[in-house]
Amino acid sequence: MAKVADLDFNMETFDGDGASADEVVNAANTMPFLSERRLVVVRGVDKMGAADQGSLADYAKDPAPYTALVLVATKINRGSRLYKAVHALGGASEYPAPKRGEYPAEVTKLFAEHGKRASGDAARALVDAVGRDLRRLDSEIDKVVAYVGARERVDAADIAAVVTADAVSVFEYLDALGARDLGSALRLLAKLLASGESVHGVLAMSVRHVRNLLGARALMDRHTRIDEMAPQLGMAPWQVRNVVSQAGNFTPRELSRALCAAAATEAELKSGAVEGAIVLERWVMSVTGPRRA
Amino acid sequence: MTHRDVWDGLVGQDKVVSFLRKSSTEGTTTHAYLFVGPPGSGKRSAARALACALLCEDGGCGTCSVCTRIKRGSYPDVRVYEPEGAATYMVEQAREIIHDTNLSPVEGPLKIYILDRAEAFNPAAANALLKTLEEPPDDVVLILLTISWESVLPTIASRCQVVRFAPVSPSTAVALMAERSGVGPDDAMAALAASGGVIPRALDFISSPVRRAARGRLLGVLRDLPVMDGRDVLEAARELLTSVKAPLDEVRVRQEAELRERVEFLGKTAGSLKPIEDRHKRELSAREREGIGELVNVAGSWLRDVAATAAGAPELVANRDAADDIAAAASCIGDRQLARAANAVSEARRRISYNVSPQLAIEAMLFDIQEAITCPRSWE
Ligand SMILES: [Zn+2]
Repeated sequence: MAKVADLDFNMETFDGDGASADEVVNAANTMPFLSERRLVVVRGVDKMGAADQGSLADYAKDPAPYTALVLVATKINRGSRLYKAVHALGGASEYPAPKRGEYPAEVTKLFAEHGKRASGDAARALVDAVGRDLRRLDSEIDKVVAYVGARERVDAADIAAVVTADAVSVFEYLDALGARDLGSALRLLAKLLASGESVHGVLAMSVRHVRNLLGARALMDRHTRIDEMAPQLGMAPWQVRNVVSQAGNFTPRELSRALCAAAATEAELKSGAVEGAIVLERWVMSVTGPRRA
Repeated sequence: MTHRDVWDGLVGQDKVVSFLRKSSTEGTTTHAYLFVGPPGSGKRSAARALACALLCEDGGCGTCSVCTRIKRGSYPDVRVYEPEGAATYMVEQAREIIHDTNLSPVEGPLKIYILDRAEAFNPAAANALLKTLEEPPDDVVLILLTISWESVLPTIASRCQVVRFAPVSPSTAVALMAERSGVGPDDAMAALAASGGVIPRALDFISSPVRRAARGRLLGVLRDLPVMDGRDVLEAARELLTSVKAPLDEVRVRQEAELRERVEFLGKTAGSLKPIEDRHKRELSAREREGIGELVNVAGSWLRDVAATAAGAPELVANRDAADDIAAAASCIGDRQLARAANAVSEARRRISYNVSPQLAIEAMLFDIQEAITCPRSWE
């Protein structure tokens, strides 16, 4: 793309969070300037409303020949008009998220793209601090690159200086829960609540996770092949691997009891008699608790 | 009876009816009532009937626009409340009610407040309400409802005229259902079991194919629970929840028609539609809770049927259409297992009253029943 277009003039980026389809379509229909082609990128197109997605799908039926429109989504419904329209043009490709152990290597690669050499410690420190949200990793890497300036080497100390470790993604906490790692789960839970997540919100996410684990556990016990699970569970293949490995840590009954205990926990939260965080912590302990022989 | 009126609907409550009818025609009604009676004894219907008798120009004809709207719950000067807090009336809600009593009626000469579950006034909320109960504005009548006089705070009970409702026997209820809607005894018993013994709700249930289908689905789930895995249970719960939401569409259609009618009829003078929309929202959430409550009732009555059959009293079975499955379950589920399962049902009912998400409450109920009634060998 860089060969056929002067990207400074001919590239526009939108965020699905705030942009309207009209703006995007206008940009796509604008003639390129001193170049053969234009590049229009919409990040987080899954955050756009159905009407806006519909307008983009309409555009995809009759696209401007000189524009490459790139739509980036973390999750898109295959039944949606937009997915179908893009798929019909042969343009839908999936980049599954890396596996847990692959993140530091991924981070090193991203630094290399900025001409920086990150040490293994630095890459791990960044993943530990930020979690496994690729977009956040990307933006933190930008900050670190700016901080080290001309220096080529990036060390763990640089990460510590720039990146605040406070923000936790709820998925890190859910993974710790699924790993029955009580220490991490409690630590991450405390951070989540300190960062302003509500007790009710975290419980709701936890319940969803337990439902996923129950579903995966049942499919495992039915001897369903792992590549057949994704459509049945409504998840991406990499998520299925994650959920299946966690579901293996529990018996079906432990999982159904976790769900029942969550109902009791929600009732206790809503009765408002006890401080929410304590009630939720107690539930986390009961879920990760000692394995039954 | 020479002519029919709004009191005719109340069956098995002759004393209550003659007392209320007499005081409304003689103008000796008081400003605060406490209706006490078991579920299904007709307290709500009686409260509405009294409202009709006081507001209708013909003393409660049961057919005029005022009476019909009161019965449908859309008459502006008859307000029905139930606890908004987790299982109790909050002080703010009590204040809101008090504030409302000080406003003039919208349409008629009186405003009537029906406060359901009067036992759910906590001391703070009750305190806020006491003065209004003692000396309400002249154009206000408060009717409090409760299932047990003992559970109502004495400060409240002592300020009300207490009216006691007799329990309605199942055979009376079945006979009444047959008279009203022509259903046979088996269907009537099943409907009463699903609606907690409340006759108007049972009649409503009979006339809703979607709700009957949800009951049928749940009975199948209860039969199959011992052989279902976690995924089956989650899917069953999801389906049941969907079937509970389906009848809400019928309600929505009626509500939209009501709004349209009002706008067409009054044009620009319709004023703010917000009160109506608020009432519609309340009605929808009440209906949804009622639907979830039906699922819980069906599960509870199924377990009771299993217990009755196991105890050698199959004639008590309420879900006759499932009698074979019930007999099969009775032959392999023990007393203690049944008691545990029944406990799961009451927990579900309590959780729903605390506004726990219906899906989670139903899932937990099914898993708990499953664990209770499944042979320990087959699942661990
Ligand atoms: Zn009338």
